[in-house]
Amino acid sequence: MELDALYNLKQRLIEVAIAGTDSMPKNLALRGAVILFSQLTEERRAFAPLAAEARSLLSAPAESRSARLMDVLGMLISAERACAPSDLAGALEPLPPGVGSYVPTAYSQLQPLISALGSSGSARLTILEDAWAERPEYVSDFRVLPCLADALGDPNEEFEEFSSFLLTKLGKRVVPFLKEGFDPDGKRASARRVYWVARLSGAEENEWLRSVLPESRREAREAVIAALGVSQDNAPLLLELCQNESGKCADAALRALAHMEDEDSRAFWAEELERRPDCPPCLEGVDSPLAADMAARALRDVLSEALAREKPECNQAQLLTIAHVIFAAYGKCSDALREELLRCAEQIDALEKLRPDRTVRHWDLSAAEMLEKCLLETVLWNPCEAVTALADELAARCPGHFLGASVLAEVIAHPESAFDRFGKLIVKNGLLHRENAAERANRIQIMRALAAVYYDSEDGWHIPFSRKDAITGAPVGQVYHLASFDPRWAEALWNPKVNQDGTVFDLENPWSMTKQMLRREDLTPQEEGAQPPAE
Amino acid sequence: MQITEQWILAHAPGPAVAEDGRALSEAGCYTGLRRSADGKTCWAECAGSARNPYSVSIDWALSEEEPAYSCSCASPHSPCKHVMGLMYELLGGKTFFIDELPSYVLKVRARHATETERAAERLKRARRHDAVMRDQKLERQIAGIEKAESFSEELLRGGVAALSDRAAQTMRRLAVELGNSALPGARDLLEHIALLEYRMRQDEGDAAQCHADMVRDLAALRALTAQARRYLDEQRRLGSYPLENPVLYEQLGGEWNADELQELGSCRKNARLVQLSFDVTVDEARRVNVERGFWLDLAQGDIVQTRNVRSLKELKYTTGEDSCFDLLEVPLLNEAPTQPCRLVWWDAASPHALTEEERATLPSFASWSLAGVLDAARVTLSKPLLPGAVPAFVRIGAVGRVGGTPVLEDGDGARIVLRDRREDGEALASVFRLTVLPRPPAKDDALFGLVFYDEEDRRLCLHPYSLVTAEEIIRLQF
Repeated sequence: MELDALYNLKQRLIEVAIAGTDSMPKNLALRGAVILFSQLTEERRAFAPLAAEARSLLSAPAESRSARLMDVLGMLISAERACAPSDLAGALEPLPPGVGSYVPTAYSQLQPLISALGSSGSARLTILEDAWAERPEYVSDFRVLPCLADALGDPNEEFEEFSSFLLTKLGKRVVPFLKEGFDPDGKRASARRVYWVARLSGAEENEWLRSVLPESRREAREAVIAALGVSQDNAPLLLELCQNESGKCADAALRALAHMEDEDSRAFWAEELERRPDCPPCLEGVDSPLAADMAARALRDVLSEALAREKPECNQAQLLTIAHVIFAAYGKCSDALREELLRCAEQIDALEKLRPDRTVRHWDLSAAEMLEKCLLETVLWNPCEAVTALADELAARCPGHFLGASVLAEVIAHPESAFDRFGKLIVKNGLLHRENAAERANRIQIMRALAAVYYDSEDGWHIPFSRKDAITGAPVGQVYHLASFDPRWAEALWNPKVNQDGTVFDLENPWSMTKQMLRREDLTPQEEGAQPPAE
Repeated sequence: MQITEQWILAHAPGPAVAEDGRALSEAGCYTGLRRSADGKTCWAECAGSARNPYSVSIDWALSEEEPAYSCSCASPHSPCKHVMGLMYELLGGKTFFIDELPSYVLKVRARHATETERAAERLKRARRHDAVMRDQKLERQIAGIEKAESFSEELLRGGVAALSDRAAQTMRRLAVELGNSALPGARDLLEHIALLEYRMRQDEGDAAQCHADMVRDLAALRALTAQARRYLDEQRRLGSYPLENPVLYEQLGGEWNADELQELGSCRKNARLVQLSFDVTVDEARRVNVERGFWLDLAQGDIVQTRNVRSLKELKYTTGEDSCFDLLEVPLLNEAPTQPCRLVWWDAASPHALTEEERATLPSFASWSLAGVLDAARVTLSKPLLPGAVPAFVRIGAVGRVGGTPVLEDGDGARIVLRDRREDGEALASVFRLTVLPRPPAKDDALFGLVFYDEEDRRLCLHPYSLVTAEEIIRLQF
């Protein structure tokens, strides 16, 4: 290019200024640049005076060198700008329609929101909540969305949770902003961006995910790999990543692979289960058929091994292994898993004996109780017909362990008629419950199920719960809102203050159902004179 | 002297006083109507509430436009009703006999002459004081320039890369001194260099980029000090501060005064302003908040700028400016002859909502051709003391991407790259916003933005600030 000599001379002068003018007499590169520039004046006579100045600079005395240097540099900068091109050759592709929204809003109205999203402090969550409640259009404005995307990496969990809630509400329109600010070398904030792109757009953004993978590092890379599970087309790539990646990225690849439906992925996972007993956590939150089948296989292997041991009591390591496999089964449903759970139901007494031994602290659930919890969580995470049918079938076989799941499924699907179906299982004579052991077990199961139901003036009747995210495996809060809740449950379940079976409730606030009830139920009716635990 | 009713009413302190004077004249309260031989002085006596009549006089001898009044009454008005009545006596054509000037008229004349002399003396003293202050300011400025040049010389000798923390502190102190010496332009440049040095020490910026920016600042400082020295030497010689060079005027601490500008005719009447863009940035080097608005004057078709600068310390206690979505009718718009865009302000304006017809005309104010806009931009950008960005309002032929780079093309096919200006920071980044609008920019829309020179790409680029369609102004800033 014809102006290269000018750019070159300018750069050399800048380098001299950075290094110091004392070094100028020995600077051969500068001399060469001046000569080249002088040659340029043959084509562009307008530069002749400037070239003359540059030449005289080389022989300037030390005391005036700096000033002359700046003078020549100033002239070169002016010349550069006076000759600056602007055109760009090439085919012009029109812009596609975007998804951002614009609201004519004054700076004074948007600025507090933007400032809250970009700062720290306790008041900013209130500002954000108020803005969403009163002027939701401000939050969706394209001048605010980049700040909202940036807030994903906020260290304050509550703030980040609310930001995430907003992203869910805003939907796909925020995806371009998430992608725009993505840093392939980034940490948590970048990882969260990837997660939200995948969650909001799914397979639509698969091309983008694959495009950023090569440059991604650290947490961003882990997130991108995990997000590749959104598209079945990524199976071959994920198989490669499973073999080549290490550490968390390898686990992320395995988790993403669990979403695939092809035979190669299934075979790989089966091999991994054999090779790595610690890989079931990679299945948590993934509800694909492959994941369910692998969870069933892992469950069968682990429980069979545990039941084959001489001593049913488990140490910490054995317990953790069982727990991880059962956690992996949460929310899943397949024929293989159904078969395995039915098989477990047949061996429920033996599974009840798989308990922590004396060396284990802070854990008192048996394998049977863990399975019971598993079915309850599965009903919450995935209340589909198949899961409901499984819960009913298990409840019929082992009501003492699985009735609660069936009740919960009915409350979620048909809250108005759940009592009609299950209320008769509660035995009550007047103010007191006079039950046998099986009837008492039924009541405890029902109470365990209903312990998931909450009431407050803002949300009404609802069931909040936490599930594992399908992409990242991180806990995610969700809520079922119930249209109603049958008041007959209260009459059937509550007793007045102090009675012999130790169930103590405050009649003035009959809806304060919490899991504290379970501890009270641990007291058996036979312990005459037993005092109820303190409130 | 020719007395008319209008003249009397024009010189009355209020209509009630004039009316009282008329009543006195009609009531025949005046006696001893006398005048001087030259007719420039007249006097009489007026019966009033006091025991003795009041001695009243009107004297045009000292000034024909503004006569001197005197009356022995205690009224605070000047002229009082007794003097007004004397005027009505004159208007009524009453006979004033010629006589020698009485002593009280002579005393009034003497007092008046003394006061006039004193006022002239005060004005002379004030002007001498102003001249002394100006000279002192000029000397301070010249001394400040010498210090800036000396510091720059020393810094460049050792090299910008060798700028130590200690030298940076010296530079900050020098910057404060330059500010106190009415050299705000030089002060801002040194503050910016100090900020770059600080960022490098905190590992916040790319070292090579920071060094290059420092060198550019030093080149600008050299241009400023060289021009300022010539300018100030000339002023020292002439003894005056004309507003010939508005750029240097601002850089040398000059403040725009509405009265002075109006005297020079630097104002416009009945301006009709529509705000195209509003932004707020923090100048970390100067530690100020800058609120900037770009406006289209529908009456004259040009772009003007408003600028409100507040120190960061006073943000909590002062009210800032805000986006404006109305059309403002401004009876008198003060404009400072700044470049490349005139700086304006006003005391009063009437807002009203833009009508559909008015909105539809907005794109038509944009330039059809990029070529002319860019030629003018090159001239401005090549001047070292002018801002590094030039407002441009251009009609769109097409907006799209060339190899992934957003580009604006005008109706003739000339193109310019759309890019965020690095110096403006993340807060003003807007190119991405343009590319995600639900309705992409279309032919015959107009784009407002700032043309700047991209050092890395070595080309002129446009930082878009607003998309103006026939229906609305979509602000990519605020």
